[in-house]
Formats: sequence, structure tokens, C-alpha cells
Amino acid sequence: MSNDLVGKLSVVIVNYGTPELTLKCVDSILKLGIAAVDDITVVENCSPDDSKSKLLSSLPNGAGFVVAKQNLGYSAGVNFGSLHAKRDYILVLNPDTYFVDRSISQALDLLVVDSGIGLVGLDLTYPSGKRQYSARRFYSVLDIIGRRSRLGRFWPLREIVAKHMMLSAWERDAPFDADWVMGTGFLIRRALFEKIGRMDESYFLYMEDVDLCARVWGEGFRVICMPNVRLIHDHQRSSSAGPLSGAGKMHLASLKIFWQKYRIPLFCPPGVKRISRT
Amino acid sequence: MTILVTGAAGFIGSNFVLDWLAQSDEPVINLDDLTYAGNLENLASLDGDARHIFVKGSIGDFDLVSKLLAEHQPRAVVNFAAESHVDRSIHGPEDFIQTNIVGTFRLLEAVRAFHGQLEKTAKNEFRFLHVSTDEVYGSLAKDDPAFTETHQYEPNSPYSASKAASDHLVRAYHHTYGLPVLTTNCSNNYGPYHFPEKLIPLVIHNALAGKPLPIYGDGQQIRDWLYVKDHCSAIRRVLEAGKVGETYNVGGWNEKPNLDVVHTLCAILDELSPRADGKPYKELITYVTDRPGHDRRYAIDATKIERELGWKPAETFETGIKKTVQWYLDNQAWVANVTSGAYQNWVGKQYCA
Repeated sequence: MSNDLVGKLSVVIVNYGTPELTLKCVDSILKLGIAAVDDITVVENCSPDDSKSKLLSSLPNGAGFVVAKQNLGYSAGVNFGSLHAKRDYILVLNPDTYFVDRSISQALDLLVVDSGIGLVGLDLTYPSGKRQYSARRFYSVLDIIGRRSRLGRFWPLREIVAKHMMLSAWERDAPFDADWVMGTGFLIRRALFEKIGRMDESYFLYMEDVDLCARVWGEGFRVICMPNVRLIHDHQRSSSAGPLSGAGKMHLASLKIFWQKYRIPLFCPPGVKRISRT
Repeated sequence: MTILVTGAAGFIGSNFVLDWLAQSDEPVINLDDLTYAGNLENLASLDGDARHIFVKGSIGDFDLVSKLLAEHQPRAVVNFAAESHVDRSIHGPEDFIQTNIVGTFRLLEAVRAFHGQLEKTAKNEFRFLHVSTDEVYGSLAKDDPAFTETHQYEPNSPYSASKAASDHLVRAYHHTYGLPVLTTNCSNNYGPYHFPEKLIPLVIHNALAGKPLPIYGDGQQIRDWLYVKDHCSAIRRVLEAGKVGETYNVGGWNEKPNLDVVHTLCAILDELSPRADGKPYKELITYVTDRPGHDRRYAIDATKIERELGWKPAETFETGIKKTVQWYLDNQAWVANVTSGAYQNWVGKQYCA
């Protein structure tokens, strides 16, 4: 296990109206020595609240701070911040996350020794310790119905959803290939990220992570998920409120964009070989 | 390439960054400690501009500056960061010693270490530009010739003494360690984003609020006035073509007694924003006790920079001051934003007649 994480990672955190959470996230990175303060870039994504002044007064000295002109979405925010990333690997974090240990060094070690891995998803965990199962297979239409409706709780969709969420893959407690991992917290090779054109800014929120992973696979790199490389995600899943909630609508809008770019088969997920931009 | 600009959220620094990015795509790392006079709102028009990144921190933080230099590999450092208000230096000199002297020293140390490990070409092309003031030269009698670059240093306030010390350190780092330095000594700046503790913005601010316009003593203190954007173009020119180790005076060729400046401001305001009752603004002028050690006259001879580098100011006082008043009238939201409670307390303490 590498003891010296500092100097290898650039961190990008996009803040939108959650300055306290952003500060907590930054604090955990520094306390645990995951990255140097000057390797952290916080993007103020044009929040409607007093995020800017709160971050300016409380961010530790040395952290990079950039302000977006308008909120063009999460992807655009990540891209804007990533322009200032200088290290070989970029760690992208939602502000509602924080670290409780240095297990991420295992992910970094793996990236360093295995040049075939392009992107590593972390083990997103609720503060209670409950796992969020943050790896997925690419979608079929049935998966979408199962995930986005109550039908997903019942046979036979229930089994389909379990497959989609790759629940059995976690049982081995070892890194495994995933079609895609959640964009809430992931590590990516900077050169690869730049080569494939960073995040796709046509998504405002949601599905940008699926799209990114599809492009990583398309470039010939693997996407893996690492159980026990823990990132706490203190998350109220807003899109689960229902398809007609604000977040639900955003999810559907992003799905529509994704649908226009990729094939989504009816029953059988396309897998990493057959996912590609149409 | 990249440049590191310290104090770039302050008055002159933010104007410099705005003008720099208007005429170049070379990115700017903005290191500023955001003390009372630093305000990132000055650079709000750069929101969404990837050529500008802000880093909060002090020039005295050796570790931080070293890391920034290593990470961004700038080809130049332009040092605007300073405590700058003479009145504040009289009430509390400590901050001036810490920031202007110790801070500059630490900055020089970090830059020296960085410069030392650069390879040959980068080493030769690197520049450290130190922005200073004509106040280091002391005060002039009415008919004395203006300050040239060879005028003896005779600082009279804790502020000018601290700037003089920093100038000497910069000079010493050139002669002792071979650091490629440039120094500019400017006269009184005015223009957009000027914090309203200084004469011109204070008068505009108070006049528009119908408050008294404080004049120290007899108002016959003479200053040379330099439009901030002219100052910025001079710095760009010195950075581009200045001879290493040299100092350059930057002035506006506009010597004016303070009272004349205030009268000019009142006349422009009468024209652009007349008072509701139709009375002239100059009726608001109030004389207050002069400050201790108030220098009578500064005048700057900016012949050298014109002769050697071909730089001259573009604005006369008349054109520059009109642009400035118009800017303040157009940017009242900015003024409201910076004149917070802390500012009110300061003004109350300073200008009680």
C-alpha cells in the first residue's frame, strides 16, 4: 500500500449550494492526507445562495477556487475544475461525500500497476455504514422500468434489478469490472479523461457518469469498482422521490439524451463490448 | 506559460488581471489573502474563465508559494500584495511590517528556490516584478524637482518605510542571488475598483450619499495621479522589456493638490449626477485635522520608462477622472458590497472632524 498519496491526485469538487458539505469533504481529504491542499480545486457552480462568500472565508489557504459564470450542470462544472488538474490522476467528488480512511490508496496503487484500468469507482457508503452498491450494468429498457417504477420490487423485475445493480459482484470483496460506476466519487487517469473529451456537457445532471464510463470502455480501458475503498456519501436520493419530481424529471431528460447517443436494448443489457455511440 | 500575480483581488492587482486577460490568453494564478481590501467581486467578470484561478493565501506562506510555483511553473511573478493605506499604517504598523517586509522576504525566498532549479532558458527568461510606490522617496518641497529613480529613499510613514524595506530586499536578491527582478515605483493610482478609503473613491462615495467630504489640513498636499489602467500597461511593458535589476518610475504627469482633485470631482458629479436640491457638491467639503507626518508633495519623474521602454500614460487627469466617476456611478452595487460594516467603522474612526 502506498503511503504517499499526496502529489499523485488532483481533486475536483463541484459545489452547488452546499458550502458546508464541500468544506467537510475538503477537510476530510486534508486530515487524512489524501491530497495536498493546492491539488484541490473547488468549483463554485454559480449557486443561488451565499456559497461563494462562505467558501472564500472558510476554504483552507491554498485550495484552488474557480467560479462558473452560470450553472451549466454538473458535467460542465467538473470539466471547468478539471482544467486546473495537474496530477496524473483526477479524483472527482460530489460535495456530499467525505473520507473516513485512506483506503483510496489501494485504488491508486491498482491504477499505477495496471495500465489497462482507466477509471475506478469507489465503494459509496451511507454514514450508517450501509453500502450503496455504486456499480451498474448498462441499461436495457427493462432495467429502466425496474429502477424507475414500483414494479422493480416484484418478481421478475426484482431479479433483473439485482443483476443491473451487480449485487452479487460485491460478495467477493475484490475489485471487479463494472459497466459503469457512479459519478459521485471516482478516480480517472487524467490523460484518458482529456483524450475522450472529459464529461459530456449535454447532460445537466444524471447519466453523465454512464456516458463517461461507456467512453472509457470504448477507448479500450476498463472501468472497475473497488469494494471497501470507502467514500461516505451522505445522500438523500432525491430522484427516488418519483419520476415526476424535479430530480426525477432531470433523470428522465438525461436518459433521453443518453438514448439518442447510445442503443438501449429492450431486454438484454448491451455489455461493455457493444455499448457505443450511435 | 503562466504568471503568478499576488494581491490580484486588490485594487491595482485586479485591474492588472482584467487588462492582462483582455490582451493575452496567458493564464493567471491569483494569490490573495483577501484581507479587507481584497475582494474577489472585482474579478466577477472572469467567472467561467478558465484562464484565471484563485488561490487564497499569503505571500508570507513559504510552503504554499513554493507549492504553487512548482505546480504552475510560472514564467513571472508580479507582486502587488501589500498593506497599502498610509492611515491604517499609522494606527497599526504591525500588519505592514508583517505583510510588506516579512511577506515579501518569504515570497522572495520561495521564488529564489524555484528560480534556482529552473533550466537555463526558463531561468534566463523568468522575472520577478515588484510593484512599489513613490512614497519611498519621501516628501518634496513645492519647487523641488520630481523624484527620479536615483532619488534617495526617505520614507516617512510606517507604510512607506515597509515598502522601502521590501524594495531593498528585492534589490538585494538581485545583487546577492542573481534573481531577475524588476521594480516599479508608481504615483497615486485611481480608477475602477478602488477601495473607498482612498481620497478619490471616498469623495465620490460620500458625495453621492450626501455626506461630508473630508479634506486633511489645508488640502494643499500635492500628488501625482496615475490612472490605474495606465499603471497596468506600464507594468506589462516593464515585464516585457524592462532591464533586469532596474527600477522604473511610473507616473501620470498629473500633479494636483488634493483640494483641486476634490473640486474637480464635485464639478463632474454636478454634471453627471446633480444633487436633488440643485446645490453644488463642493458645499459638502469639510476640513479635518491633518494626519501626522503628512507628506506635502510627491511628484514623479517618469522620463526613464518613456525613454527606455517607450511607455507614456494614455489618460490625462481630466479624461481619467471622468471615466472613474462614471465607473462609480455605473457600479453602485460594487460600492455597496465593499462598504460593509467594517468599512463604516473605519471611516468613522478616521475622519471625525
